[in-house]
Amino acid sequence: MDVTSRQFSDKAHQALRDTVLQKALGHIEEGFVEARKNAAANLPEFEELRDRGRDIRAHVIEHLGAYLRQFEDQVYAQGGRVHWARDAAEARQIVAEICAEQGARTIAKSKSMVTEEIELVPHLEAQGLKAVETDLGEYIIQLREEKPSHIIAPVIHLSKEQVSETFHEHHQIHGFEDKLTERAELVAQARSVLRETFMDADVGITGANFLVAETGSVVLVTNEGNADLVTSLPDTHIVVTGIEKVVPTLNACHTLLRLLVRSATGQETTTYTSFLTGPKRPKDANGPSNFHVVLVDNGRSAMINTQNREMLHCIRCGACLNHCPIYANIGGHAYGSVYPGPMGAVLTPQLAGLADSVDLPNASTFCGKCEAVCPVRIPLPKMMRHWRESEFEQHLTPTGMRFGLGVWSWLGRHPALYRLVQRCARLGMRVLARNGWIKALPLAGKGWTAWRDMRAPDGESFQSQWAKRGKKEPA
Amino acid sequence: MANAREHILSRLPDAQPAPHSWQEPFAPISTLLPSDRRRTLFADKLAQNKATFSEVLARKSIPGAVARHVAKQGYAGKVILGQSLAALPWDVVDLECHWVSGENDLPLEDGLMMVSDCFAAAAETGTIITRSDQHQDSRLNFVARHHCVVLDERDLLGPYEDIWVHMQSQQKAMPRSVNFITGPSRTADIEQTIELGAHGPASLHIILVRAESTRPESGEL
Repeated sequence: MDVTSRQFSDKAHQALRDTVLQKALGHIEEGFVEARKNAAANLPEFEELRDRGRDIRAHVIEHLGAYLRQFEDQVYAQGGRVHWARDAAEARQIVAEICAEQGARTIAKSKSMVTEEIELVPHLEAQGLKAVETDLGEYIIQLREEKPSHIIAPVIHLSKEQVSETFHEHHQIHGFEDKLTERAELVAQARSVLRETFMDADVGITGANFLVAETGSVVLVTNEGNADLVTSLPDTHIVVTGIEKVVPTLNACHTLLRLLVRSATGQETTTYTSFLTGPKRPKDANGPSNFHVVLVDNGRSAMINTQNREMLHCIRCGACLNHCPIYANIGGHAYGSVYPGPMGAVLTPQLAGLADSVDLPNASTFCGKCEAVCPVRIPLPKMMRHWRESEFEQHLTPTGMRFGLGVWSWLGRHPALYRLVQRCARLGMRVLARNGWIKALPLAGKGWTAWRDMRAPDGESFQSQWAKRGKKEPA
Repeated sequence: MANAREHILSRLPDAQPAPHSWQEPFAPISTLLPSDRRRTLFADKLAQNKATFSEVLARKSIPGAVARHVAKQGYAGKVILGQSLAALPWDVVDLECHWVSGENDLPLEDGLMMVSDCFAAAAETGTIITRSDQHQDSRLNFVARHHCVVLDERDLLGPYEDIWVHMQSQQKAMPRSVNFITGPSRTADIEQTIELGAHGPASLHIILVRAESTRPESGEL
């Protein structure tokens, strides 16, 4: 997976100065955070369901091979085909070969983060195919030649005016010459343009939110209905998804769906939840004649026996992005990965290598909100901490920070000296303080005090107070 | 890439789950409703999800309910009808009807009113559920501008999990597509503000055919 995460710091600074982006990010609180809070509060068993969701995902990963075999058997029993791809290149080749077999020229795509991860659309376009994203957000960024900035809301970084500009530039060839100002008009125009794509497409490509082992079903959730047009109009349906998406049963899937949608958009359910199982049956009134599932590994199997195993539990709701104070201030593009925010800070180093993404696990205040809202209780801060440890072990930490951490670590192993240095620092900080606040800290660089003052130490340290109390529990 | 499968599977835990290691999840208790409360919850959830709702006492009254809905929408075009509704007395209403008789007979252009059956509904979220078969063209659920769905009250269930039990009482094989639909198509991609009619229907109307056991004694709704 190609990433530009080495530019994280520069892009984060640019994002903070981008007033249009800052205004757009302001919609997250009301649009996602409040909605999730209300949705969770309205289901009495929500917290219990989170435990069940975590247990289902842990159970699946414990038996992942067995459940994938069961899923594969069921897909074949229903007349579909399953393909296995070790990496992105194999996955792209499989999809391109199926398209070639079908003599496809136009492909309608619905939103899928795995296809973003393997960069499928540019590959198909390079083969001379017309591959059109049909999710409204994905369609907009395809026109703008950008990457999604959020895993469920790809154009959360854009304003209505920017979308209007984009449509005005690209839709004139479809006969739409006026520049639009209303959201409803923009949506209606995209509907009109994309309806032609749905009707022309030879192949439909989707991801999968879940794969059901007991039935061989592919489960898709959307609000727009584009995935349902993609899977019911073209004669061939190709599903491209990660190997970790399998769940044992339909009932297990419903438990996860209740969690997924509430955590993602704050809805109780999406408008469309579709269970798709194989190709058209002989007597069916309609449906695709060909049904293919491409199971993509691309680094996932390598996570099984690592400290990041629980990242395979992720159901891609985006709640950790929505609640992250870092993401809320810089948006997704600064991360330089298709997986931004806390889940991306854990996943990107795994998929793209830590050396190319070392800033991402450090882009966290460790406030813990990501874990607090994760529908399957993935301990994201703990996993980011693991990456920071790996960073230090692999000598990827900048020299100055490495020296500072080394000094602190050495002091930590010499308690008497530690206390002495602490006393000196406390005295020094009191000297620097004016009215209890310090405006500039020597040795700490400009970063800390550039935007806020530091409180001067007040009274004695915790350790000396503890010692005075004789290590007794307070009354 | 024949050995990609073996390569990937060899790297994954492959133990079969032990017979009692897996506790099948069940529906949250709050979704398990007595049948007399389902209709009320269903109607509430439909409204919450921006769908509309009307009731009739018998299937023969469906054409009249469709005609009233068409008038209320101010819709003037032809009405596309799913095959399973063909036997109803459509001649009693003044509608330009088109019965879909085969795979190539469904108009795919935008802007049309389409009417179809569903095989079940979940009151939990006001969701209607359709399945593909020889009489149900699944495209009809998504290409319409205005979608009108007929639901028999006997098929109105509580939680999602009951849908599969209900389906298995009628057929063992999994259909190609089972579609859970909750309200009209929508998007909030532009500035997090909901707009209806993104790609699928911009309006969804449910006509509930009341079960004999719950019909009002007066015989009127």
